[in-house]
Formats: sequence, C-alpha cells, structure tokens
Amino acid sequence: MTAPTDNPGPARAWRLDDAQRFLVLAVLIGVCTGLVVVCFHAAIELVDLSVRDTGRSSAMRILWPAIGAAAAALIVRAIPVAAGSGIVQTKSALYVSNGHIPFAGVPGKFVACVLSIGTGTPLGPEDPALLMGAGIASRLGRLFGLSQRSMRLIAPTGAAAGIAAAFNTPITGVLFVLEEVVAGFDAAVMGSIVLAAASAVVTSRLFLGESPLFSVPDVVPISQPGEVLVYVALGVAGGLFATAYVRMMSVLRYRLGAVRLPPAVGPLAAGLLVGVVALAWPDVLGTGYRAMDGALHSQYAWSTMATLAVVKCLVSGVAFGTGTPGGLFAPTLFLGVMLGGAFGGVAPWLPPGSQSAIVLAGMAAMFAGVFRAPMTAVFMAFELSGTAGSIVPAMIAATLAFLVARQLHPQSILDLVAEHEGANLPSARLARPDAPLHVEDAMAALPDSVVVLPALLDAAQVAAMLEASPATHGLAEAAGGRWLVAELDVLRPIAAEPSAWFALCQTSTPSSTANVQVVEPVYPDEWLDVALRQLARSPVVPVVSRLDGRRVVGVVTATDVRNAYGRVPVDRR
Amino acid sequence: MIGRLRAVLVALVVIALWAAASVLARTAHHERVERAALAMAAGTAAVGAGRGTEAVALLRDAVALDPQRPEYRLALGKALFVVGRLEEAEPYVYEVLRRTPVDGESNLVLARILARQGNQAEAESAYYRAIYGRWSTAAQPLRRQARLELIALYRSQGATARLRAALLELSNAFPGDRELQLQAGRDLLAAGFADDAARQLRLIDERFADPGRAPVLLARAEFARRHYVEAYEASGRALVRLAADPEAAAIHALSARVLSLDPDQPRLSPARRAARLRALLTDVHRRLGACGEADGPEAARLLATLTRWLARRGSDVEVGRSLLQAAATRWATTCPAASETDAAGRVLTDLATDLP
Repeated sequence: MTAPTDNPGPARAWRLDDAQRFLVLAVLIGVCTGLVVVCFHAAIELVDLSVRDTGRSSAMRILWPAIGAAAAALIVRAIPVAAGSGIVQTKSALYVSNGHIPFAGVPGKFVACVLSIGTGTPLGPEDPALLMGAGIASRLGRLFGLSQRSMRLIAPTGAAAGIAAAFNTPITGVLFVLEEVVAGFDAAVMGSIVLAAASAVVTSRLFLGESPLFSVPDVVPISQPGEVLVYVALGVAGGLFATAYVRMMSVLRYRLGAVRLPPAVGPLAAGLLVGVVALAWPDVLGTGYRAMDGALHSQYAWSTMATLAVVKCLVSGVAFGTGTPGGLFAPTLFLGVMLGGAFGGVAPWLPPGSQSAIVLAGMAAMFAGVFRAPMTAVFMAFELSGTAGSIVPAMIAATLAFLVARQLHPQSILDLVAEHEGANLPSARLARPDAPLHVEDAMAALPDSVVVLPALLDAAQVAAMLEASPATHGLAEAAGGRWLVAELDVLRPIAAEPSAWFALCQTSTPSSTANVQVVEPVYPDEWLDVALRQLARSPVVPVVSRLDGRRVVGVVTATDVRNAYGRVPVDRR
Repeated sequence: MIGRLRAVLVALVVIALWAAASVLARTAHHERVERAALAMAAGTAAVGAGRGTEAVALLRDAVALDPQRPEYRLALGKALFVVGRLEEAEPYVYEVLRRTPVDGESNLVLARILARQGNQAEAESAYYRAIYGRWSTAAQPLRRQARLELIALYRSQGATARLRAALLELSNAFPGDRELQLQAGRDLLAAGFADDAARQLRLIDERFADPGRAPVLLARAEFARRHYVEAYEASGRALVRLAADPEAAAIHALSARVLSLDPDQPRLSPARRAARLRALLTDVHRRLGACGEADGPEAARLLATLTRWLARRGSDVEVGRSLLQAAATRWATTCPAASETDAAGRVLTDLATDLP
C-alpha cells in the first residue's frame, strides 16, 4: 500500500485563477442562457398556439391579452425583481450592486413574460431574455466565488448571451451589450462577452435551428444615386419617428405610472385595449414577427404598414406604460419594419425588388433612433436577414436616424426607463462633458527651473552642465525607461564622481533614495490620474513622447494639476 | 468537497435545463408542424374550391408556422397568383428557387407571374427552366403544361419562329401522347407552318392505330400546302374512319373540284387541258368584269385579249396559259379574295402565287 503524497503540484496545475475561471464560466453562462431562452421561446409559442385554439370568438380575442397581462402583473407583484426593463437591472449590477442580480428575477420574468407575450401583449421577449441571461450569470458568478471585479463584469456577459440567443444573432448580442450596457469597448470584458454570446447561440441553434429570425427575399444592392437619397430620407424619417416614440413612451410611462390602481388593474385595462384594437389589426399582437415577415414579402400595402406602425406604437406604449412585463426590442423592430415598408411604398427611384432592403434599413433606423445603438442596429439588420446586401442601406439610415434622434432628444428609451425607475446610470451618450482629464490637459512646457540631462553625456559633461545651469531640479534618464528626479544640489556631488553617477544611472527601482526619486514617465494621452500617482513621490513628473521615450516634451507638477482642475477647457465645455 | 458539490449541482441543473429545452422545443415544433400541415391542406382545398382569399390566409399561416417547408411557400405563391396578387407572390417563389433553382414547378409559377406582369423575356426563360427543370413523378403533367403555356406565350407575342421550334420540341418530347401530337400539329397548322404540320400529322396517322382526327387535319394541311392529291387521299381516309365528318367531306369535295379544274395536272390529254384552260379563262374574265376591272386602259386591254382568245375556236394553248397566268395575277391583286369553298378561285390564286 502506497502512502498518499502531499505533493500539491498536479492539483495546483488544475486550479484556475480568477480570469481563467471567468472565461470558463462565460461558456457555462452561454450554455445555460441558451437553454433557458430556448425554453422561453418554446413556452411563449405553446401558450400562443393554445390561445389561438381557444380564442376564436371576438370575446375571447379581447379577453386573452387582458387575462395574460393581469396574470403577469400579479407575478411581478409577487416577485418585484421581475419588473421593469432587464437592461436597467443589468446596468445596475455592473455599476451599483457589484454584479448582484437576485435570481428570483429569472423565473419571475420567465413566467410573467410567457403569460403576457404568449397571450398577445404587443411587447417582445428579447429584453427579458437579456435579464434572464444576466441573472443566470450573476448566480453562477456567486456560486463559483468570482472576485468583485469579475462579478461586476459578469452581468453584461450574461446579458450578451441572452440577447444573442433570443435573436439568434451573436454579433448583435455582443455589440448591444458593449454599446448600451457597458457603454464602451472594454477589452477586459470583451473576451467573456464574445464567448458567452457564441456559446448561447450555438446552444439555441441546436434546438431552434440555424435559420435567421426572418426569411428575407433577395436584397437588391444600391445601384442608382437616387436610391441613396431614399435611404437618407428614410434615416431622417426614422429619427423623427423614433423621437416621437421615445417621447410618447416617456409621457405614457409617467402618466400611467402615476395613476394609483389596485394591482394588475392597469395591465388588465391595457390588455383589454390591446384585445379590442387587435380585432381590427390582429398583426399588432404579440412579438409581431409574423407581420414583419409579411412586410418583408410585400404582403401589405404601404398605407396598411403605416397604419400598423401607428397602432403598434400606441398599444405597445400603453402596455409598457402600465407595467405589463415584456421587452421593447420587438415593438421597436416592428415599427422600423413598417416604417421602412411604408416608406418604400411611396418612395420614388426604387428599383423593383428593393422592398426587403428598405424594410431592413427602416428597422435599423428605428432601432438606432430609439436605443441609440447604431452599430448594433446595422449588424442586427445583417444578422436577422442573413444578407450582406442590407448593410449599406442600414448604415445610411441608422446613422442618420441616430444623429437626428440624438439632436432632438438626448435620452434613449433606456435612459428614460432608468430615470423613471429612479436610477441614474452611466451612459456613453450622457457622459459628463468635463471629466476626466488627460496628462496633456495639465502638462506644462519644460520650465527654466528644470534641466534635462541627456543620457549620452558622461559624468564630467553632466557636472559641467549642472554648474552652468540656473535650474533647481534635474531630470536624468535611468535604466528601464525610468527617470531620475532630484535637486541640482543633490546631483552635483554625485556627478563629480563618475562611478557614483554611473551607478545612479543604472538605478531602476521606483523608490526614493538619497533624495533622488526614480519615476515612471507619463505620456500626453494618458489619464491625469497616472501622473498624479507619480507626483506622490516626486515633485516633477516628466512627460515623454510616445515615439521617442528619451525626448521630454513637458512636465507635470502639483501646481499644474491644480490649475488644470481649476479650469474647464473651452473645447470640453 | 464543496467545490465538487457545486460542480455536480451545476451539471445537474444544465442536464435538467437541457431536458426541459428538448421537451419544450420538440413539443412546440410538433404542434407547429402539425398545425402547418392542417393549414396547408385546408389552404390547398380552398384554392381548389375557388376561395382564393381564404386560401391565402390559411397558407400564410402554414408558412408562418413552418417556414422551413418550401412547398408551403410555393403553395402560398400559387394562391397569391390565383387571386392576382402578383407582387406578393413573387418573393415567395423566388425564395423557393433560391433553395432549389432547378425546381420545375417553382419555375413554372414564376413564369406565369412574369408573363402576367408583362415581362415576356424573363417569363420565357423561366418557362424553359421549368421545362428542363426537376419534376416529381406526380407533377409530370405540369411539365407538359409548361410547354403548352410557353407555346401560348409565343403565340400571343406573334413570335412565329420560336413558336414553330417550341411546337416541334413539344411533339418530340411526348411521342407517345396522341393528343399532344395532334395539338402540336393543329398549332403548327394554325401558325401557318403547313409543311411541318403535314409531316407531324402524317406521323400520327402512320404511328397510331387510332389516329383520331389526324387524317382530317392532315387533309387540311395538305390542302394548305396545295398538295390537293394528298389532301384528297387524306380526307378520303378520314371519311372512311369518320364517315360523317363535315370538315373531311368538305375538303374531300373541294380538293376533288380543284383537281378537276387544274389545267396543269399531269397525264391530261391536250384536249382536256385546253378545255380546262378555256373554262378557267372564261371564269377569270367574268370575275375581272364583275369586280370592275374593265375601267383602266391596261385592264381593258387584258379583257379584250381574253375575249379575242375565247372567241377563236382553235386558239394557241400556250398563249392561253400565259393569258391565264396574267389574268389570275391581275384578279388576285385587284379583286376581293375568293371564299374558302371556291375551287376555281383557289386554282386562280395558286396560279397567281406561282408567278416567278
């Protein structure tokens, strides 16, 4: 019998550090989110099919959306974390609660949205899927004991998986989370988001198939200059319509939210309204994917599409305003598709067969205008249709719609929802104009009180230079790209002894010895925070060129920093 | 230990989710497919019953429920075509063709849509793709239909050369189909390709034990070709088979009358040839006089020459032949055309046409 060894080598080799665990967990998050989203889609579909079987009479067609919305509202009352837009909770997890999202929100959102969307509430399943992904990610992160930094990034990772699986669009999932949730391209989170989105899509495709959400007829690429004008006009119209939609949502959300009613009465009333409206326009019910597919296949006249856009705008606004669970992605896409289709019906210069291109461009324009995520909008048009020909029209329309909407209304719909929920979350669009500063904002030209001692000089030359200099401080290049900072009175005796000067120049440890400080140089484009850290141990910090680390382009002193924060640069005002 | 427990717990959750996703997705898929099939069947029945709008709604449901089935999309495209919504029908058919570009039936539907939209050139290409495309055994009759519709397209365009080629291809493609062969022969004859029609119809007459109306059509084709002997024989054969056929009887009688008037028939004695010549000159003299051709000086001179030739008993036959040619040409170019049953008029027309 062999005695057990205490050698921890192999076990340690298998132990993952926090970053590695985070990446492995991203795959697990993607798989779990993909599976939940598959269940979510299938459950909504089964409820929808059952409702169709039983709801053939007019009375039942009116009642079903109301029953579903009221039941969903009661669930949300029982599980409050399942309320609201999932994106706000995810951003809160990133910026406020260190990645913590209560797991009860996942089943709560699942059941509530299955009931509401399955019975015909004109909202979408994508934002709920995003919240479910974030909730799953948060739970798994806690379970596997991730560090606080990783935990903060884990909610966006799950959110990307949720969006990617809901739309069957991995790129869209990644881009939306980077544009809207993280509000920037953070390299630290990029790898995990991509991994989670990819694994979620692969998982969902195993069950739901590989086809894009819409089967789009051949997209005719832009071939005439006149067509570009049509897409430009569509972009402007999309921006205006998006602004009107966001403002209407804002008004409805505040006005309807302010009405004090017993639980579930608001959603019940909204559901009844939806049911009545759907008797005349059944295409506005539910996600509206089928109607969008019809618009892509020229099923509707332009006037019908324009009417559907207006009606969907109203019913989705009322449903969302009363707090019926469901997301805003699908209604926004619906409005964009109908806007594009209606526009294509009346626009001149469009060659035959360009219906699908203009419909997809309308969809991208509306998405960019409402969510203020133009890159996501363009790639969404591409991924949802599976045709690269849609990219250029979508780029033109989405960019213009984004610019017009931003000009007319600074907040996106998500900012409004967050504000209504009492949160003030950071956003790329609402960044403060006077923060933060860079080194170049504070640095000053080399003053007379500082002399730079070139590395090429020997000790005798340095000594001669120091004797002649009127400066009080000297900067000399040290080993490892670092710089020595000292008063000239300290440097003069050292320079008088060549061996001592040589030894000093070989110093690279960033510590202060014998009144000589070793500092890291900073670059003009770095955050001023970097220079501030160096100023803690040196009165002067050299600013060097990125192209030539030996060339000092300026210095930063404590006075310079105070002056920089004391003024607000004109171009940042 | 706790770490392992966590891993096992997560694995169990993943397995449970996987199972739930499988069950739910399969159930939803099954429900969808079943309902789509029902909608498809109801939609197809509605199309057959002429309830186009209802069919479109049902088939649209079928497509929405099971978008992966190209046959549902094609059926919807066909229903939309039937109700005249061509713009809507087109994308559905193109989608099916994007997946299976050589599908015969899809190309046929596309050709119909394009033809109805007036895009004749594209329609012609689509018809050819349909004809040479891939067809299921059950849908073979539609392949023939594609050829017939292409022929109708050419006929409506007045593209005679392409019509002739299509008709000959049609007859070659279905050699065992008597009705189709007859149709090709009839169409060739109607399009003015009497030689091809005669060849085609003679083949039918020889190939099939029961050639149907092929002898009658052959007689008509031969008559159109001015092969009166053959027309007489074919119509005679037709009368043996179809005793009471009025068309065969008329052609038989007319070709017999033409043959009895024609002075150029072989093996005629000089006296009989001269008598036929005289009879025709008398007839054309009367016709020219009746249609007012005596008014001009040239016509008056021709009539006077004819009168002089007819007045003399032993006139030169060769001169008479030349006179007949000139008078027939004059008559054919200036007087109203003879009726179909006018045998002498037919002979005169033939003489006028024979002018070098």
